Amino acid sequence: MGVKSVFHYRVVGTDTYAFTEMQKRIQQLKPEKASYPMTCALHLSVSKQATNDTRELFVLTFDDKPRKCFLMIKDCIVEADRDMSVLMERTKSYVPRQAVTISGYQYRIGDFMVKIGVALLGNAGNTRGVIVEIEYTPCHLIEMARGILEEFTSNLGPFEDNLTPIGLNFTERADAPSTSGVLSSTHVLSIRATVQESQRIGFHSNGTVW
Amino acid sequence: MNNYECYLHGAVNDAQWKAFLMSKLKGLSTSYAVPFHYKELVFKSAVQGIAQIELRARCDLSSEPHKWTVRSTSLPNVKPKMPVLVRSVIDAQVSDNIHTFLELAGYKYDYEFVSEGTESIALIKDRRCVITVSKIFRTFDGSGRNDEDSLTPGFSLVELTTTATTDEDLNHAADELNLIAEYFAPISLVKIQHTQIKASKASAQPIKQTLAQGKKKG
Repeated sequence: MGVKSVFHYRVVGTDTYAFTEMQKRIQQLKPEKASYPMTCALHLSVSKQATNDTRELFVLTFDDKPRKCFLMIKDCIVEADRDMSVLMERTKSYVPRQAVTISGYQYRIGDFMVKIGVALLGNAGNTRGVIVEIEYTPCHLIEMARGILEEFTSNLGPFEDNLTPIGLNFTERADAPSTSGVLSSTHVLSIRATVQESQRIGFHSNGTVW
Repeated sequence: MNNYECYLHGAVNDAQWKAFLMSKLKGLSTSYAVPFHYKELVFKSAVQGIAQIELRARCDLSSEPHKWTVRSTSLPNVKPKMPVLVRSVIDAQVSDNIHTFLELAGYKYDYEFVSEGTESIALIKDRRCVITVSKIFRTFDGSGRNDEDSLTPGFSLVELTTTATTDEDLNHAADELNLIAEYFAPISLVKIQHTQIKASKASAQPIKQTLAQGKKKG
């Protein structure tokens, strides 16, 4: 696993110009292309009145992993069968709120893996931005990969002013949970940020230095 | 999709298990009895205002790396005319940090135990029935399974289960499970209501007495 950086590109209304433009630029590099569909559903605990502490449970599902889901509370991520989300609903200790669907593509360009998707909120499909994840695969040292990633990002388009860095990481820690590596923290952080922003409950960057 | 599980419980002393039950299992099972060694952690919801829910995180100690499964079961549905107990079950395989996750999710660690025994599978009319024979151990250091730690000294627990997906299938499953239970006679596999066991425990009645009552009714 290399070093990844994730950005949230804010858009106004249904403007997906940035998404289209970034795709065009990447296509010129003749990458290997695959779809990148995923859904993140937010569930809130019902214990707010009792303890005044609402917990947020994020359930992520990937269309290309039909039997798997990923659940996250605070910074704890669990990889599980899809039945786990059914199980959590059955306990009735969490109620479903909003869901964000990211529809886009992933591209392999040499040593880079780029994932770009439009974040759509709820059934109405309101556009809430573009999520961009760039991974430099051969290197796992953040400081060494920083310059390369910055240069690659600047070539994606004139969007730097609107790009909000969400996270830079993400070599696996020794004490990290044994997820399969399909899901990195960046996925969750990016989606969590989108959902939280959609709910206007604020978002705090995790101390990235971009 | 709902998964209903029909089940019957019983207990046999170890001498009887070795001499009689295993020979019965050999004749019935489609494969050899597979040994298992589980550690099971029980979590209860700490959320106020809703019915207390129990989740069981099971760790397969015989596999490396250990496989973890979370199970949620409903309360048993007791129908007088149905010869077995029925509960709704959801199982999900999870990663090994499930303990931390459940505590963050508001579930409180309650207790744990180790279960060790064998699991046999029998196919009756294309229905997969699972027969487990196990002993339960308390865990002081997480791995203890000495005889001194046994919670079932001198006898083993027998569980007979099968699954059904629809209400119609449920009746067939119940009948077929009851048919298998009769095959184990004179070992009695009965509908044991755990709420009643708790009540009898409070009044100092041993589990064997409850089983004996079930046997008379059967």
